[in-house]
Amino acid sequence: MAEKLLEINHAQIYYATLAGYVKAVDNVNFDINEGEIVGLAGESGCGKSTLIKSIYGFIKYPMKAISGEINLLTNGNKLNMLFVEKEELRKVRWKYISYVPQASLHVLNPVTRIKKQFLESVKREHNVKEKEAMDEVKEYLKSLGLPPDVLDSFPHQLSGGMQQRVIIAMATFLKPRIVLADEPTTALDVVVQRGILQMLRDIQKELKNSLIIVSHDMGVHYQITHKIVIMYAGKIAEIGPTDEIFNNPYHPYTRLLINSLPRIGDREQRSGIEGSPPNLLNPPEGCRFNPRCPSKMKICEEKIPEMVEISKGHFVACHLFQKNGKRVKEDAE
Amino acid sequence: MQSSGKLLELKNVSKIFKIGGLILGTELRAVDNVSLSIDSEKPVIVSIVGESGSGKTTLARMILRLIEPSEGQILLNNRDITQLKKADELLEYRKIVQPIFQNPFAAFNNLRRVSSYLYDTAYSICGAKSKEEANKMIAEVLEAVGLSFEKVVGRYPKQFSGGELQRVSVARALMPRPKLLIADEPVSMVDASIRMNIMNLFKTLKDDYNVSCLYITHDLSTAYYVSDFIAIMFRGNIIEYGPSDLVLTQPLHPYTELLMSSIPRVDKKWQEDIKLSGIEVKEYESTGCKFALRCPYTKDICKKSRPKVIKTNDGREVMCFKYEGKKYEEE
Amino acid sequence: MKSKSKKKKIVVSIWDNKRFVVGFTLLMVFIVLGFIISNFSPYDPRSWGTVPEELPPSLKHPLGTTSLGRDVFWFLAEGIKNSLMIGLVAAIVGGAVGVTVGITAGFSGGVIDRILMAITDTFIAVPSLPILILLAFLFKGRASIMVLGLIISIFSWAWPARQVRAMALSLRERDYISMAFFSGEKPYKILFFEIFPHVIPWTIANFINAILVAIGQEATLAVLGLSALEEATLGTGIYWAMQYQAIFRGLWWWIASPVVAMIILFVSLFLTSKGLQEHLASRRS
Repeated sequence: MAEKLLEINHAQIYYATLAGYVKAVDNVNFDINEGEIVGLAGESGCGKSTLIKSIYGFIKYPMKAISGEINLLTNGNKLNMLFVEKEELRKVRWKYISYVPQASLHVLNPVTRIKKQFLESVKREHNVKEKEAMDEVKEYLKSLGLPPDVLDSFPHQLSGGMQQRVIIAMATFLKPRIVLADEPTTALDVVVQRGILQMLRDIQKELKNSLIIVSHDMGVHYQITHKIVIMYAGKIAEIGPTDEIFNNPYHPYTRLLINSLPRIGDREQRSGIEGSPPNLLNPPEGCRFNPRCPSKMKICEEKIPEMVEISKGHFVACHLFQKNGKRVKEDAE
Repeated sequence: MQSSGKLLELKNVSKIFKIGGLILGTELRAVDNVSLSIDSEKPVIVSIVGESGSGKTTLARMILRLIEPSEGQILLNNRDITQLKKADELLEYRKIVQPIFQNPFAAFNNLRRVSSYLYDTAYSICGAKSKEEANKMIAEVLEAVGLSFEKVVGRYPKQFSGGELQRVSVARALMPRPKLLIADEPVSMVDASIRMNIMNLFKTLKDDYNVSCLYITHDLSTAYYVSDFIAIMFRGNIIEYGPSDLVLTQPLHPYTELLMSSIPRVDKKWQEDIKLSGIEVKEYESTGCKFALRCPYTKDICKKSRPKVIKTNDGREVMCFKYEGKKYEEE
Repeated sequence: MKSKSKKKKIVVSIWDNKRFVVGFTLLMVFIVLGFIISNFSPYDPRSWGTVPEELPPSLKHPLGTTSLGRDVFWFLAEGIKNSLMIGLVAAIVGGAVGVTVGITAGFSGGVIDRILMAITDTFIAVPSLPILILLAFLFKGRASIMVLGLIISIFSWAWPARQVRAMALSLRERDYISMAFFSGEKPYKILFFEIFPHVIPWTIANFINAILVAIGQEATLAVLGLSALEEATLGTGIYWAMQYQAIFRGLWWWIASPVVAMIILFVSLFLTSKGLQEHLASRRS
């Protein structure tokens, strides 16, 4: 069985505002194993970005970890990334866990050559001479199909796609066990997007680690992930193998979302989901999807549904399913 | 070609931006010799699809008179829109053409009530004489987009969700019963679960209100879903045009093929890998085909001269040497 | 998410901004001193020999007297008034010209924009001090407060013009301006209701800044003996003190009073403008 790399138990991460806490991630549980590409999917404001930032230990006011654990499992040690010391973070970042930010964020320092930035980020725990490190970096870039002379450029001399490829190279150079990618291709052109997604996938295959990718684009998840976590309004609605999520979704939200996606070559009339996601200052009682759900029952307004396993590795949090995985009633159309 | 019966006609339109100083600056052809037309008889939805830097937004802004074309003409009902100067001509123009913007929160001034735009449109453009008349007009269009008068009137933009606000802007655009909507990425800021509701709105407007629409987007799937015709733009040129069924299921231009194979579809997984080039290419400056440096079918001629637009038998236009002198006639 | 979570309107008062509160309070002290208290001067603060010479601060003469037989306190009060006047004139004229030029250039574009900006850039690029010295020299130190304000304003409009033009250019591209046009709003209404509200906050902050710069420039001219030497300003206060070697002769109250007053005035103006800018920036986002 594949080794477990990350376990998330009852994670609660809120945002402090003057009007109260925005419950961005509320009681979320799941594990991540070695060798998986996991997609975090959902609409804006569903908490997927908050969650991935927290996994990286990147919790900054007004974001606040309330309770729970996001345990990074490294060589038998547990490190709760929700409440972690800066010193501890420095030890695990880049080496065990690394982060690829949104392409449009321009994280590279515009006045420093790529070479210097690369060495600074990978050298910290790695006491190698500069010359040797440099040769290694060049070798690595070549293996990823990047021209080594990008190292001598300044970030603005490279296109957005090339910058993102350099950042991915930096993030994977020390062979981390977990790579987090937060909307890694948003705002990039589709051709470049495909190239970058392939690159992430190939590196994962090579390192046999796990890749967690956040995207609002279901197509991205369909193309490269093995497993999808569907989030809605700060909670997990459904987790399952990618193909099952697309072909046999259990949660009404997942089903409506998948059905609303237009497909080329198919002009069938499609419709979106009525209403809009709830305000997370005062989320609805019970299941958070109940105000928009076509299969709503009385219990949905009263009780928060628990996660049940329907088939191997396929979980859903919906009152349509009993604890033993049996369906209570048919889903309304 | 006869130019009557055209609602909108672009004739060899170009837009040149000067980059840098007066002396050392370079020129950028954001839109390069584009011709396109929309018939006035039957309403249609035409998608203009392209990636960033393709010139699609520049094209939309020229049709909306927000910037002037550097070369060529834009005709609306056979009148050059850059010649419209008088107040009544501009009023007439706004009765025919209306915009939908990408980000509804940027399109409404957040210090003003959303309904103030609806009232402005009712009084100034639709010629409402009384408050009752204006109210009636507003209630009617809001109903058409699935919103209620009570829910909208008197509220500020911040009090709406993105999807609702975008529907209000569609309702406002619909008020003068325009012939043409220019919608620039109208759903890219809207959540996936409600995107289709707005796309369906454009179909309804076409079928029930006879409104044609120029849908500008980077998203091929929604373009396929909603439009009758598709124009694929690349580096300022329309490189392929035709019925959306044909263009997206049997693409002719190598760039359209590349686009089709690169989009993350939800019904077919990617097959063999594509390769990104390591070199950064300067495609705008090319004197030949701008795609030649990346094209798998490149021949010598592609790098030297610009391909012409070739019309095919099945009603398509493609700008590529691959089809020159074959079974198709040249324009 | 950001927009949705902020349902409740958060009202932030300007009085919560510490910089503004401190700056504005100090500024009010100066305004009261200059425009109200100065009117109660028992003697013309400008004339010589009205009080005994070179007295250190005392109850009768809170800031002492000068070698010229002037009361430092009343001279200072009058000086604050005149310095503020010069600042106001320069800021009003410079601000009005600057905003007009900036908006015209930004919205007309083309040739008009290029000509206006060429002129503006010239005024920004040319070093202002030598020219001010030249102009002031023509008046041989006999310019009135008004005229001084106008001379200084020659150089105070160019920078605002550039900034306003930049704002107008970016505002012109905003979608809601186009939306207003397509809703049939009249051009003058767009200018007044859609564009002005966005330029005004900046203009206020800039206005205070312009006052500050103008007072500083007057002081520079005064120290060189080129200001309105017969009038009382903060600058002429320093000028006379230096002429009579106040520092070397230990008459510290004479030289220190205008210098300290000027420093506090600068700080108060700076804090007010900075606080306003911060407040407006937080309100806009």
